[in-house]
Amino acid sequence: MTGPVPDSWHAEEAEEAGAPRALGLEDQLALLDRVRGLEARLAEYSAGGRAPSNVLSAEQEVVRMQSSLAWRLGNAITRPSRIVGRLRRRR
Amino acid sequence: MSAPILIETWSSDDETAVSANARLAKTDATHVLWLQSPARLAPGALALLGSVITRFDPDLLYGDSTVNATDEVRVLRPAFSPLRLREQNYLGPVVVMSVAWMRSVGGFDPAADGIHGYDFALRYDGAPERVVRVPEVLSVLPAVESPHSAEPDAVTRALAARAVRGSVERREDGSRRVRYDVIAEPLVSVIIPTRGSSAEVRGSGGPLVTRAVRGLVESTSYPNIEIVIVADDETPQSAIDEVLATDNHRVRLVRYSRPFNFSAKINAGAIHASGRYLLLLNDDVEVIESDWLGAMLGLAQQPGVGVTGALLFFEDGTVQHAGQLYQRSWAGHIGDPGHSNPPGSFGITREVSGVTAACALLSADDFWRVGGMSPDLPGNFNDVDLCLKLGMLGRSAVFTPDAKLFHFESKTRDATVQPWEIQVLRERWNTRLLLDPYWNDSARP
Repeated sequence: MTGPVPDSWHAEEAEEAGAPRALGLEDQLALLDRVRGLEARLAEYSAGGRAPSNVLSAEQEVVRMQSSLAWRLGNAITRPSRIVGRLRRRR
Repeated sequence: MSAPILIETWSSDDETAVSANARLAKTDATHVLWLQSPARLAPGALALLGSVITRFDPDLLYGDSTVNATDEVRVLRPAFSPLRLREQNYLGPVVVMSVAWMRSVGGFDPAADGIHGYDFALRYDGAPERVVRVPEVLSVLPAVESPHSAEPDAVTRALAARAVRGSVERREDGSRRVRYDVIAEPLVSVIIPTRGSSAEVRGSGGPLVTRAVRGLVESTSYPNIEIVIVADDETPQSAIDEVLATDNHRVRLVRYSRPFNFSAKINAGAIHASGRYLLLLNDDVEVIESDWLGAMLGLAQQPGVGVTGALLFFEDGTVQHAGQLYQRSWAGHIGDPGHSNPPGSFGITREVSGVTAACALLSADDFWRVGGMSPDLPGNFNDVDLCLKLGMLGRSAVFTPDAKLFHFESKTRDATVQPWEIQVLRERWNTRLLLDPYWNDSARP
């Protein structure tokens, strides 16, 4: 926390800048934000809990993507290297 | 699900509430497919519905339509949106309901003959995830849909049944508005972060924050507000003086002496706010219609609503914000010229993935429950993160066109997004940013 610059504005403030009460509450908010963020990241790794409408839309999007020209071309181009990779893993 | 699925198709042509209730009492079906005349079922729709019901056991289903059996005009439906449903029957002509649920809510309402599918959906009070939008064509329409004359009365009954205080009105463009009464006139703390920037707007210059505060004081009909100005050290004394001259009784000044961080400034303002509701407001906005805050507050007080956003215009009158859109691992605004306007979508209150913090209203309790705005996102996407954190608590984001403001964003903001900002957002919300449940790109077949 830095203090106000010397030629800054002057007026009655709601609370003295940098008051411990305010800083403590800011820390509390930041901590809660971290917790919510970690919960969100954890949920990202969880397969369950998705709403059926979202599951159906995602499945439709996958089908759409896999039927696209770009996907089919990429699939055809990379097929030989995938076959070679599979054979190597078997040995 | 153990019992076999049996879907019976009932048509609005054949059934009144009396006959349908008699049939509902006797039927062995597990589900009723309500088909609204004159639409017809799309080929393969029944089999598709059967498989979806087997997988998810929902209470209610609906899906997309085509017009005249061509894919040229395809009507794409949003995910279940209860507030939008009151203003627009977006369900389409095929609504499938579980018989057990239909019986549990008392069956067909004789007052809703002609619109029973819509009426049932209005009465739905269960878990939102038990209403499923099937993203496939279920019905074929002979022409583009138009509202049924019985819909407003059905909405009025639905409001009364839930003890929601409000009225159903007709908008100028012919669409429907639900005007929610504000309950108990709570104090709203308007938090405006500023550095006192000046710009010329419509020929007149001066600090933008003064213009914003003047709009709050002189052009806002909702009376119970306080204004919390979070001002950088660099804010010119003249801007502070002008703000105080506008209304020094309701203005609180909070000094911000650290490097720029929009989130931290909002959080600092929230700490000094005493209202039950917080309105996050940029300093570069101008009020257009005086009842904007009452419209937002009436919505914010509805159960399940987390954050309410406004219709924002650029200075030239084009739409800057009609809700946010999260798709293809990106988050942006719905507005001109980037998006088309699927029938009425800019002009009705509707659920959205998120709203901009340039003008967003939420309860102080919810703000604290989610940890406010993330200081890890100092410039961009902090509002996206806030809305998604609220969503994690089961709170929705709602856009309303009944709060209109100008947003002179281009005057003050560098819109550059740094790669690390989108990275921080994706680490938290990667999956949620892939597909937007509330907005379907109408250009896509």
